[in-house]
Amino acid sequence: MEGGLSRANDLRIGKGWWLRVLSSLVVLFLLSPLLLLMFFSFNASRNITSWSGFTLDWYAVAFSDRALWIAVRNSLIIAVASTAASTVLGTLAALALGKYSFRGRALFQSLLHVPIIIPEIIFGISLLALFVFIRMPLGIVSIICAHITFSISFVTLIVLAKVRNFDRNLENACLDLGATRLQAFFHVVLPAISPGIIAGALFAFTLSLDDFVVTFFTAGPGSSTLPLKIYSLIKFGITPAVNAVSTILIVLTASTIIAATLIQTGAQTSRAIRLFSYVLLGVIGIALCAFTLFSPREERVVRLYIFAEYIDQSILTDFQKTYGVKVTQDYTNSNEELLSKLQMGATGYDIIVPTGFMVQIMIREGLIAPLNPRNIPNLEHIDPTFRKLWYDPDGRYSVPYAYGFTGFVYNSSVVTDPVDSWNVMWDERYAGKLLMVDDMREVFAVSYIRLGYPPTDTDPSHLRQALELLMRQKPLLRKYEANLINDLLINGDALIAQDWSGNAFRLNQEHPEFKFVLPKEGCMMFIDNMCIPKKSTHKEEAELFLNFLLRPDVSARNMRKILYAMPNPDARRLLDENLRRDTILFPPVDDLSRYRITHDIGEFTIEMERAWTELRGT
Amino acid sequence: MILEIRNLTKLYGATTAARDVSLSLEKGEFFCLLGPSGCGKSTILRMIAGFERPDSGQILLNGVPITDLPPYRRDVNTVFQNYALFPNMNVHRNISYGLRIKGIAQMELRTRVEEAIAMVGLGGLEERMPAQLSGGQQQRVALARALVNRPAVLLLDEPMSALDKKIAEQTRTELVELQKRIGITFVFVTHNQTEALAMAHRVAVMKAGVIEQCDEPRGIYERPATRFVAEFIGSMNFFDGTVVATDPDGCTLHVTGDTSVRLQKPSDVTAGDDVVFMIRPERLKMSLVGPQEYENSINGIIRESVYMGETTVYRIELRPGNTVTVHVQNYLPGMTEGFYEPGEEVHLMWSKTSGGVIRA
Repeated sequence: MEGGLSRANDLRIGKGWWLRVLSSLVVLFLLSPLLLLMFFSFNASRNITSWSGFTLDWYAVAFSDRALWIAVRNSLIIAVASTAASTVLGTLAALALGKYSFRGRALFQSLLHVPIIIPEIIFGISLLALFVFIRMPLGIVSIICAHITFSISFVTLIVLAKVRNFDRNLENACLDLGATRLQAFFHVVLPAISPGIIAGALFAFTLSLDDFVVTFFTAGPGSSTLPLKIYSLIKFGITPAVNAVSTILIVLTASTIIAATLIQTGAQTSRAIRLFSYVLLGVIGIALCAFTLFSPREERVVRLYIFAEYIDQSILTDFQKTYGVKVTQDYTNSNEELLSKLQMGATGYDIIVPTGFMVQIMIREGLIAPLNPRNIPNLEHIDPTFRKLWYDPDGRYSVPYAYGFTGFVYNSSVVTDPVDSWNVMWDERYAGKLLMVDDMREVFAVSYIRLGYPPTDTDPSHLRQALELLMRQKPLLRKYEANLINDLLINGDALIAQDWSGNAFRLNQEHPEFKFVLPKEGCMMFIDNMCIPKKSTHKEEAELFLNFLLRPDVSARNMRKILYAMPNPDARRLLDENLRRDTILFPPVDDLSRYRITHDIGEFTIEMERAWTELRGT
Repeated sequence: MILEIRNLTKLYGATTAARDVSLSLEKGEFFCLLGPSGCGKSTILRMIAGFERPDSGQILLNGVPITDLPPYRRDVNTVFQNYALFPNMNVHRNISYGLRIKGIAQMELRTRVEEAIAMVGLGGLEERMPAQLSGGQQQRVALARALVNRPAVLLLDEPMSALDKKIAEQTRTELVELQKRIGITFVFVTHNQTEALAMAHRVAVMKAGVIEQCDEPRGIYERPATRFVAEFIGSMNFFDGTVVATDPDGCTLHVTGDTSVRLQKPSDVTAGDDVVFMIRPERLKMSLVGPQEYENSINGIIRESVYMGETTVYRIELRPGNTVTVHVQNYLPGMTEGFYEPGEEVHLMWSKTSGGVIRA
């Protein structure tokens, strides 16, 4: 092998060293994203584009974040269980296919390719449909079943290659020498195909650990995995704490694979290395078991379906301590996802957190249950302005949770003119230094507001005008951006950016030169609400929890942690001076008419999407 | 009788692997199943070992039917064509496998394995893995692994086919000596006629699942019972002919028209039968002058000569469309190089005890 690498290669691109350089570059290209991620897990700043010093803080954050470890634990339980099951079943299937001929063998083998060929998303939806149809509760077990279904194909095909290469006479030789079929299997067949089994198992394990799409559809309460959690973090931006967790996972996975490889090479490696590998595998195994065993069970439970990091973890433990009711979290990514999950019959969530317009849709669809105000006396602390809003006129279905605005941020050390209007986003002096958020509704809302139309307008000709206005803006923009707004501002790649208030507040805390503006023409506002789904089985506990959340001291603590405003004046009074008086977090909201609360625009969304595509495409 | 096979039949779909095969082997016999690939010889071996189940028929070992027993309950062992050594075990563990499975005590196990290793001359290689052995060494391990169990019958499935010619020839002699020494009955499957003739006490020649002839090597070579056996073993000239007369000593034939041939051998033909007269190329004596002390002769013209080292092979045209092959030793006294040239007319002669007839 080594001699082969250094010879002049078949492509005739020079001598062997050229090939080495190219190969190294390819490996580097493959690994550099991972290395970068690991590198930035030690970054003192929370922004991933600039290095501001070495720290282990994110590891401390990651290790102390219980919710994160629950997600890791779920991922590992699912990966271990589905790997074990699919490896056993896949190996048996491969043995049947490779060693025997039977009716339907060819058909069976073709069907094995189905889960690999079918688009994952269709596979996910069909599994969800099946689980709902057979009334299987969604959760860890359903995810394990789902993962087994696709892992089994990979394991079978990998092991089958080994079984096909296996010399049948080896098995016959065993029988000939007096071994039974079972003895022959363990003495000779298994050792011969074990590299295939190990490869298949590793493959199944990584597939399961990585999987997002199928998991997304088949997850239920209490079963959010790490990928689901990380994706849900998009609301707040991915923090280096996730990098830290990912680094730990990468190191864990890499060690598993290295250990497995060392064991497989067998006789050639020294005893010490092999011993080390076994110890390593053992430690990994014990760690996995420890995670798996750590799964307390409680009778009384409230299951929360919420954006990741959108609630202070300590409140959940306090609630459990006070009332003996456990609170679990699963993570959502968008209102639309929440809606489709409920529509498809997902059960088991006790509290969901939809935005205003989604509350309206869910009331209309009959997906959420009316609340009993007598069970939630702390509703009295809520600012009356936020009760009985248009989407829930009687305040019967929702409790306002947190709110925020979409305005813009500017770098006050460079932009010295007074800026208080959306007009600045069309100002040619800042050409190439402007950012708009990568969100259709938010972008069109600005255009509508400038034109003097309400963002809920569904007149096609107004949409046309709004599009033309945006077309004029587009050449001035650096880009439409969703996740790295703060990073681009800190780098100086952008000076002014449309931004969410929560995001802007975090930026302002670290870099005070960035100021947040709610333009005088008005701006978009969102209000997230807590609701109880109709299918909740713990309505009483859910209301108890809502009441607990609204307690001024609890609400204040929550605000301090998630840094979003809550319409709870009594709680706000408990905050520190600087937080309480912050105008980004708490702009004056006595008169909500200045703010446009996102509405559902129904079928008109399709028209807007067409315009959005046109805008982005040209 | 140690092994008896009665009316064994095995079909794979449309192909016949064995049809009504019956054999009986004596204790200590070196028996060989010979035939081209696909003739069913390996299938018979596998049925004896228990890897295949016959459609009908019976196999008896020491008089006890074993037809329905699984392989691990039969007192036979196999040396596989590619040896099938366990790649995950070293030489010692390969050889001791059968004894370990049977739970033989440690002391006895060690002695028996040592014996087997010494018997095949593998001393010093006990710790090697199969991948680190040469083909010849692997074959010895396979042999030791089977023999250490002291089976009633040892089955060998083309054990030499993977060895190069020199080593195969050497192994041949060693195997015969080994078999004589330990006295275990061998059933040896091969497609190599030289191996079969050189090693076996008896040879069964198979074709398409049927035993064409079962005899000692000399009988197979000298008195082939069918045209297939005659062609498969060595080379043979065939003449279509008719029996003119018979007598207690033999018969008189007419071949290739009216050439009269005298054959002094017992046969069951009668006058008027259409027969095929067969004669081996090395039994024909070629000469430029006419018949001398031979009873039979025929004339022809040399069309081709091929130098083969030990012999030269001549193709002689008796008349258009009818040629025979003659083997002439190259070291006959008085012969010079290029003694016979293509185009020359020669006489072919043979004695009345050479050749044979079968019915057409």
